[in-house]
Amino acid sequence: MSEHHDSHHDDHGPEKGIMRWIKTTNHKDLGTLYLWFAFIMFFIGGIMSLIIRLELFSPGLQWVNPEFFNSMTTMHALIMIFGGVMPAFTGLANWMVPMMVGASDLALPRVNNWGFWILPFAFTLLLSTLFMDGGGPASGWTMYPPLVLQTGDAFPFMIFAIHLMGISSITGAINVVVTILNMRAPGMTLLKMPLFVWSWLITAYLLIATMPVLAGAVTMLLTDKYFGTSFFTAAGGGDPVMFQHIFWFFGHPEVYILILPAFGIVSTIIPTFALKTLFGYDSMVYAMASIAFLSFIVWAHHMFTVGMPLAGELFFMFATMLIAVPTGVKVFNWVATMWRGSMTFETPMLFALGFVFLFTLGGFSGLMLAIAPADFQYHDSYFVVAHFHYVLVPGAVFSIIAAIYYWLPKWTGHMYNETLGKVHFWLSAIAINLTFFPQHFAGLAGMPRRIPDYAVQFTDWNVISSVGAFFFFIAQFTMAYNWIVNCVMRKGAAAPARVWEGAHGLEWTVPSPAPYHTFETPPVISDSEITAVHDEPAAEPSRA
Amino acid sequence: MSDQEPRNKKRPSNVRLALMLGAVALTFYFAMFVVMSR
Repeated sequence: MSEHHDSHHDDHGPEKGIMRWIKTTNHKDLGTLYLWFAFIMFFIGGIMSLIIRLELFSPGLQWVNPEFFNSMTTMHALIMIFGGVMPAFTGLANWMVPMMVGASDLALPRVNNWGFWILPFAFTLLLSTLFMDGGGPASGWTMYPPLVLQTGDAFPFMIFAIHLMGISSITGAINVVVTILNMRAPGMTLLKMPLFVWSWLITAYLLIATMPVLAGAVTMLLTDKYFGTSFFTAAGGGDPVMFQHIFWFFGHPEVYILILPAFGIVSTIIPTFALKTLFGYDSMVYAMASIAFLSFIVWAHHMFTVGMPLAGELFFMFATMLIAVPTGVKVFNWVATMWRGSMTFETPMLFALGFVFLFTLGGFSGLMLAIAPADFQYHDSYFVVAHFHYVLVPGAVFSIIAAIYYWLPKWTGHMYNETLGKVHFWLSAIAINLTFFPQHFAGLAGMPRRIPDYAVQFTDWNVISSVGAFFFFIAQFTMAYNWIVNCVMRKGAAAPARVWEGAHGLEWTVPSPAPYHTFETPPVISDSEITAVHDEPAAEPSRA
Repeated sequence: MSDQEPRNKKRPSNVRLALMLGAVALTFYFAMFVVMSR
């Protein structure tokens, strides 16, 4: 590469105006776009959850009609999963994976641009269904036939939106795999990569394997409804239960797509604020790989009550329980990392600790649901709603919030307000437990999920849950203010290159804010920036 | 070094690796119809 070419690249900044964002192929710009998109979707999905909680504040029907209520539960799930959590993690991968492995950008920058700009169209299509005859899709995000085939005009729009989301996810995943496998800086071997990168490599493989399965399943729904096929229509010789098998063959790995990057984030944050290296790096990698493998052989635990042979129930029950082993390894390692560490409790650490406590709680209720005979009682009850919201909100969403508090000073060059951040954490932690803990009791007492009305004996738990939900939503404005005013609008104190004393990794070797182009020349990796410490070679000197 | 070239010469190029992964995804998609049409 000539000198002239190099200096040309050094001077090359972003375009001005709106075209910068439309045409950008820069991983940092696209990471920012993904994160803003997810932020807006979290807001829209949050409003839908408030409509649900408003209706459930008291028994009887008072605010919305049942069809619209069903539409809200369906759209809330689709938007939060495909529009909120997944794009937020993709945004974090866009920003951090190239910087963490010492690459100048993702491997396929134009594909990256395309992958992002599909999303606004997909969600415009999906949201537009709320204004159509028959309303939005209302059969739940699981789209089980034959119920889903009764959807009105919204049906093809929902299917096409899901196809677009799938294309976006697959292109993003391919980009991440190629970047990690091909573009690591010299010396960055696979087992020296930061765990966030490992978590995304495994997640990307899960996406490539499972999103086409979802796409195939919804295409078959489309042909069943409009082209006379009978894949899932019993009247034509099809099998509706087969849809459930296919959906959950996608759906269970999807659950891990939503949580593995969170594991990577927490494994990055805890060592930083414990001033120690991560305990058991290798076992963390193997645990994530094991969880990913197991995620493909447990799908039917979502459908224990559908009527399976006993051997099937037993297989899926024991396979599901097996997941507790690698997950337990991870929780043990996080706790062992903190053991005798010089811990400090800045906002990212508080959210990471909240994750460890509350995600584990969600894991335990997952184990309860894994017991097939017990699941006959819990199935389709509010206990399930409590379980997966514990895993997804103080799990996945807390990890996203923790990651943004952790890296936002690096991205913008300005610190958030620490006091406000701590207030945000405590308000969120209290509100989230108010919202979801009572749902366990309502569920165990027999309250079914996805209903706009309920028997009066469930009222007290629902009142607490609804109050908690509004409390949680309002608390997020402290976060929005803190991030937007102090970091995005640059009112906060200037951030140093190494924002956190205990942080290691290539991203902390570049200035804050991170320049538009980083690692145009592959960096030389010093030992102190390698976050991995392997267990075996005991002779390796301690850096503590 | 161009971003289009793998830093490890033994690996396939970025575009080739991406196409291979894309082919895997498409295979999964179409395999669904083959299996379900039996």
